[in-house]
Amino acid sequence: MRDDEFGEYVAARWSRLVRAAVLLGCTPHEAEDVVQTALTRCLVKWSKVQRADDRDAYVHRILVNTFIDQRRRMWRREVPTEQLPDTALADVATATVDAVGLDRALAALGRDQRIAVVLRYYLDLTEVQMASVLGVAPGTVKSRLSRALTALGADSNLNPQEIPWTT
Amino acid sequence: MDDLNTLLEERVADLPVGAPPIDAMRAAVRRRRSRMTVLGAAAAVVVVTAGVVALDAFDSTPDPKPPVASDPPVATDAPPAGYRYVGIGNAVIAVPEDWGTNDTECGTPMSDTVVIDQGVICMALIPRPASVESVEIAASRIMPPGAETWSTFELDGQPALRSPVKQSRASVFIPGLRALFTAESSSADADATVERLLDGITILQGHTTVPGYALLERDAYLAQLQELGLAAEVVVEDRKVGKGFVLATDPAVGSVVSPGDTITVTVSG
Repeated sequence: MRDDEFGEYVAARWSRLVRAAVLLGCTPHEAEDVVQTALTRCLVKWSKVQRADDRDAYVHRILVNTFIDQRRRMWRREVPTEQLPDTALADVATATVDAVGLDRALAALGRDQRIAVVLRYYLDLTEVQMASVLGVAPGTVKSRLSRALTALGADSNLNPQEIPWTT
Repeated sequence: MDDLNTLLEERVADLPVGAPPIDAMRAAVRRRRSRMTVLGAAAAVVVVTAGVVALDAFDSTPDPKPPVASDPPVATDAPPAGYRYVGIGNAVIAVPEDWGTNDTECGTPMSDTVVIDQGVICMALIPRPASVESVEIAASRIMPPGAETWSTFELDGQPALRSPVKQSRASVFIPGLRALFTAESSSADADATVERLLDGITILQGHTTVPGYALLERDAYLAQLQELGLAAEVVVEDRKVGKGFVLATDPAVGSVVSPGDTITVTVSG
């Protein structure tokens, strides 16, 4: 019963969560890995997930934490280089010029701002939900989003005429 | 704002995503659970022999609680992969497995570490090195200073308080369990790290943790173990300290144990 519910939940959310992880900066392969790890953690505590007022918020929280953990491990393993590598998405053969611009602009954001943008504008969380997912005050969410939007608006990788949300 | 929605949506819309590996996830959880069950069974066997030792070690109380090692281990008490739980009573926090315990100099963490039951420390202001994360676990019968302004929330059914992050440091206090967790970081993303560490606090359902012994005498500590339903095996070591003090435990303070487990307690003789 409990596993069936888990199966249904995963079937319904898998693609969106993987794509969200890609927008956070993972390669598609890493993204599936991160989401799989996060959902496995959720399954271990599934009874707790089910009891949560907002099941998605719980899962999103675990996803964000898993992503941060994984990145941190990568940073520790990696030797710093002078040049930043291109983001994973920019290598996708089908990427259009717009897509590359978006990837670069997202990559230029700080980690917390990028997470905020993905939660708000891709996973469609409200600011209140985001505060709960990120474990920060609603004011912090607001300021992260606002700084992120300002940065995206000023980013030369995105054509300013096409970003009406900054004006 | 719709444009950013659309931009992100279109960016990944065509990304091929494989089928969810549900079976692999279930298998991973099953493996973890069977590990827990094996550990639980081993503990049950140990108790039969260790119960006698426990009585010998603490014979002033004739009627110890029966060990309850036969209770099935609760699967949700397992920490996430790559983490271990450490705590006080049944309140625990998940820390990465490679973290040390009490890696401090005069109380200042020198590398990623749990700080628990430190006892007496020297008085000196040693600056914290960069990129060091720590979690301090303490028993507190009183509200920590300033806690009246902390936000209240419910943690696995327990009322709890959480402080805002100030100077890369924040705390969670669980009054009902008298448990105070304080996370601190000197990493570049200190505030987020602190928040994330504190998110790893949970209340165990079927396990407890090895209690602290700093400055406790043997009998007081053995009484505590007995209260928690833990058995004790006492090893006496001749050291140049006062007789009858607890010197060490195995498993270490704060480790997760099941009721009925035997704790090896080294005391000065």
